[in-house]
Amino acid sequence: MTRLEFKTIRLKNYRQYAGEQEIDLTSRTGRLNIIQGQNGAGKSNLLNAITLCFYGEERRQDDSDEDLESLPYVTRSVLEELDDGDSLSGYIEVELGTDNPEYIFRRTFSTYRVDSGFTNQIGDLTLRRRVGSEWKEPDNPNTHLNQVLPATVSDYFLFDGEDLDAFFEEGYTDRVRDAILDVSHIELLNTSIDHLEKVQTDIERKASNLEGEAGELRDQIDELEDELEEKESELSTTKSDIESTETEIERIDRKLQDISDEVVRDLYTEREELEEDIKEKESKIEDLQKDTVELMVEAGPVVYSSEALDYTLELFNDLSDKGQIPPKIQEWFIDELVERGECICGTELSEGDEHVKHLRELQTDVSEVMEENLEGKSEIPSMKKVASGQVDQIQDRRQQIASLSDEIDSGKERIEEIKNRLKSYDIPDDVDIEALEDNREQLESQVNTLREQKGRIEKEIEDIESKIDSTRTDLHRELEKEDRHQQILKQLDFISDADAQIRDIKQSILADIRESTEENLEQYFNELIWKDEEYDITLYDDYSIAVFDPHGDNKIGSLSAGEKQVLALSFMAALTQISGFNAPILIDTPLGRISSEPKRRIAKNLPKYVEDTQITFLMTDEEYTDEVQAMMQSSLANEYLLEFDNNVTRVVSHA
Amino acid sequence: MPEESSGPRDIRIADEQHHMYQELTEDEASPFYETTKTDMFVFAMGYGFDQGLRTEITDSRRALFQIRDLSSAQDWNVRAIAVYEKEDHRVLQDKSEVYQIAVEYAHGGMDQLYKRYTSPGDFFSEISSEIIQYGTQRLADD
Repeated sequence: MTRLEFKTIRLKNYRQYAGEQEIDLTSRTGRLNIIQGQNGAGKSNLLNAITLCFYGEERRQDDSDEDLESLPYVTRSVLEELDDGDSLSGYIEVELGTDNPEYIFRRTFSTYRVDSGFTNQIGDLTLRRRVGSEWKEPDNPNTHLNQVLPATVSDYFLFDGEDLDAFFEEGYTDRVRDAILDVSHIELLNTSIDHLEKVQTDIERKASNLEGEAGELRDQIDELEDELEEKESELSTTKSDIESTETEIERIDRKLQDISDEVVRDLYTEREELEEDIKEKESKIEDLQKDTVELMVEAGPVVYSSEALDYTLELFNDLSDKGQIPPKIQEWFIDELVERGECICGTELSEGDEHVKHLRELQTDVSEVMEENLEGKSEIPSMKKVASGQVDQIQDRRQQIASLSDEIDSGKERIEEIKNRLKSYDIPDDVDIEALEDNREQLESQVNTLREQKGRIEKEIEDIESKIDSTRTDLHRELEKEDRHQQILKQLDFISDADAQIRDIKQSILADIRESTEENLEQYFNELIWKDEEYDITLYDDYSIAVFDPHGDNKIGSLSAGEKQVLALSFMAALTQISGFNAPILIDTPLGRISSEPKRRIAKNLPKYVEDTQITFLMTDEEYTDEVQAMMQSSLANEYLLEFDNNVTRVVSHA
Repeated sequence: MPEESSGPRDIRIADEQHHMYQELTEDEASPFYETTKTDMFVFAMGYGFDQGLRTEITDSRRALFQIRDLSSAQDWNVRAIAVYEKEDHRVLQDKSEVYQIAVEYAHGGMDQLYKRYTSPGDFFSEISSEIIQYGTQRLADD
């Protein structure tokens, strides 16, 4: 294997991992490592340990309600003896290599006891790198890390399967687009575009310094650009607010799912199914509306102008009845007369003479006008017939929309009932369902408001961009008026050409990447899915995805939770391939929170996940069953168990 | 007898209405989202004709699309309105006049459609109900 592998992970006093612990992941025979542990045993914190070591941040929230940042990095049990102001330290060390270890990344951390609790500090990333037979400490460990696995791409190599649950839910096209941009290496092109924009502004300013009118236009552009920047930052804040609110809703959902009371769980499941069903119906309504608009746009003008169409048709028919529209003179008839050299009245005809000229004019004029009228006589009835059929179809679509809307309304009513039942339900568990439900409701309403806000800001951005374009056109028109600006205009033209070229290149790279993603996604999906059918996957220009079954039906709107998880896992796999980085993959809870039967079926195919790459799965007992273990046996390199006792975890070999 | 004319290359609308076409066809909230400008124009023309809203354009104009983009059925819609307006089929020989009439009805129609779009109410439902109602009455015997 020429790809990088995790060789060893060493932890000292990190979270549950008290004392010094080492996880040896060196491949002997297979490429799969399994680290099995119950909830709370520290699976997620192993993933956190790696990202904390590499990037100085923990990315995965654990199952507790507490904010990760408020928890001490150092194991709680060893902190107990600490006095105020005292601190304890630990470290995380990650060893990577191909055949032999080549990189040892290390980061230390400390936790201080303070009045209000604890505060954490982290040290700088350090690296020992093997050069030949020697180990050296380069000055720039982050540069080396960027060559191994940069932070922007790491989310596709080191991730939590539970985060994939909602990947292909509403708004997934944004997530697909962002992910493709992350792995596309087009930062240089983006930097070039930014640079050109800056140079363009500088040159325009140079020109506008000289003249009043141009100066005013340039000032307007400046103001609009400032406004644009403000709106873009507002948009980015709104997007991140949406994301964090959605994460909060997911956390509440998980808590509710984990409640042991059967009635609560059933109600929760029913609500989830209803919400899913409503989403599907809303999407159907959207399709039907789109369809209706297409029909309306074709039928509408005919309906609205039917009086004019009837009048015109009647007029043509009258004219025809009165003989004022003569039967069409066949062009071949005049041609034959001229060729024969004699008219039907006996007059001699020869090319160039007055008679032939007259016949030729008749041939052109009469055929043009009459042909039109004759065409109208047949076109108008057919237009009305088509429109009449379209009106029937509009009516049918409207009925379908109405009945789907009714179904959505009753679904929503039932959800309300469930919410109220959940709120009033007393369970012995130490969970306040009412508070959770109230919180969830508030968060949902927040998300809706934020989504509306996002749409509004996006529209404002579009408007400002279009104003900038038109003001810029006015500015250039103004500059063209004076000869002395010719040089500047040439420079601006050059910049505009260069900008267009770079944007073309960027689009063409992104199109290539989309194509490769589509190919890889289809391959991985068909390998991982437990069905015998072969699926065709299409990734469209707008980053939407279609999953076609063998009958040609697009299943993307009706995929089960298990199928969505497989699609998301396949998408992540496709991205790791496209990113070009040869890093190992580590997935926490690869099968997320899907129910047990599909979980079992997907787990069986997991050994096929991204072949030729070292993969470490952090799995729950439910995921790593005896059956799954047997399926993975031939690919297994190492198996560990996280033994969790008294809030401390010990890593033991599972062999 | 109307003068013969070959007609313009483009359909040109009032400058002031350009943003209306843009909003109605490019805003996701509009029922005409992703409709082409050509289709939108013909729709506005039909609507304007139905409502008797022929409106002269005094403002400067800009091209919206090329006349050759009209489908044969759309072109007959345009021509039928001109014939009705002039009560004479010979208007068809004066293509400038034919398209001028279309543009003026579309101008009045678009003004009204845009007003309805920006007023409170479910524009999609209203307009589709209208087409169903009129369509059933007016095209029933065909």
